[in-house]
Amino acid sequence: MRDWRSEASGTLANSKLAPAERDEVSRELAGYLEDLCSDAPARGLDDSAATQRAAAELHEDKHLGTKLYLARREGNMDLKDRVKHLWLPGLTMMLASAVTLAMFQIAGLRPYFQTVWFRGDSMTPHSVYSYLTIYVPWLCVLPFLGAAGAYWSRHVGSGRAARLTVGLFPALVFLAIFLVFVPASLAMGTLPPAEAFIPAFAGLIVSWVVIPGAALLLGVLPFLRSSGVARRTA
Amino acid sequence: MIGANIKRGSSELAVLSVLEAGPLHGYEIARRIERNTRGALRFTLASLYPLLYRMESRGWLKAAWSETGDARARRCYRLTAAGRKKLAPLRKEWNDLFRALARLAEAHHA
Repeated sequence: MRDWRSEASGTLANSKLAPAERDEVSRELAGYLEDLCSDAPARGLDDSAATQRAAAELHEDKHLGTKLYLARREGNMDLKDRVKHLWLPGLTMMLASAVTLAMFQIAGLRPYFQTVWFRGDSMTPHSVYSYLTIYVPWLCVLPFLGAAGAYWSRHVGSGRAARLTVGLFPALVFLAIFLVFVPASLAMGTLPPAEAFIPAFAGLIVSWVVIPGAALLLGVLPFLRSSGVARRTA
Repeated sequence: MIGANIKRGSSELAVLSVLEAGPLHGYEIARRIERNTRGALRFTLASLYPLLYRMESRGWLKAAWSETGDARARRCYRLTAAGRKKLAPLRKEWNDLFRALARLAEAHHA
């Protein structure tokens, strides 16, 4: 019988499959082709016709290796799944967090400012300070929002990574905004000098990402421990 | 509401349906689908395996190597709980589609 395994391996040679993975896929495809040839009498084919057909199937799609590589890494979520497992609960939690903060502000809540001094050194000779902006009542609500997001995500069958992402979504959005802001300011030349920028940026990150993220995580943690509906999502 | 991706949906339904009865390896899946649809649906290696791997990575199928009767190792696929859960709405969607098409055809003949 033809060596289908090495032939399949040759077909996949240009794919991005790792060697061990390619070997396993080749072995599986070779099994299919052997079965196709063995089954030839039942299909009314002689050996030669069966071999020709098997070879034709193996070489039918020149992008087979790429398609198999992508299929194995699809990450098990198409767009509809991503909306259901990630974007819808995540954006809802983001909105809930923003609305809660806005309501507190409308009600007259003022943030608690904590001054943080950054002592000068040889690189930044002047001591500078920054503020941590802390809305305590809002931070008290965040664990419940984190829990709600993680519960929602678990309820629709998401895995732990998705539950964690959804629960931390409001803090992650702030992080993304700040990470876009820095290169954009650099590109526009509007970034202040390092000795002023670094403390201010650190203050923003701690105020809007680290502390809210920790508060959200408190609510998310119980939903990471329980398994829920097992499903890989990321 | 009938989904847009009809071709992919029909292939997924076919694979999930034949695996509902029990685990099968790749060639058996293709052969079973061909037999059960009296040749109307045919898979080749190039159309079957990307689909199987995609469904496996979504968690609908689980595969494991096992030996067949003639001592040859084959990778057998079985439905997972998530795959079984997916099967019912897919079936309903396709039944809705066929009923809608039948109504359309009947209206055309009337």
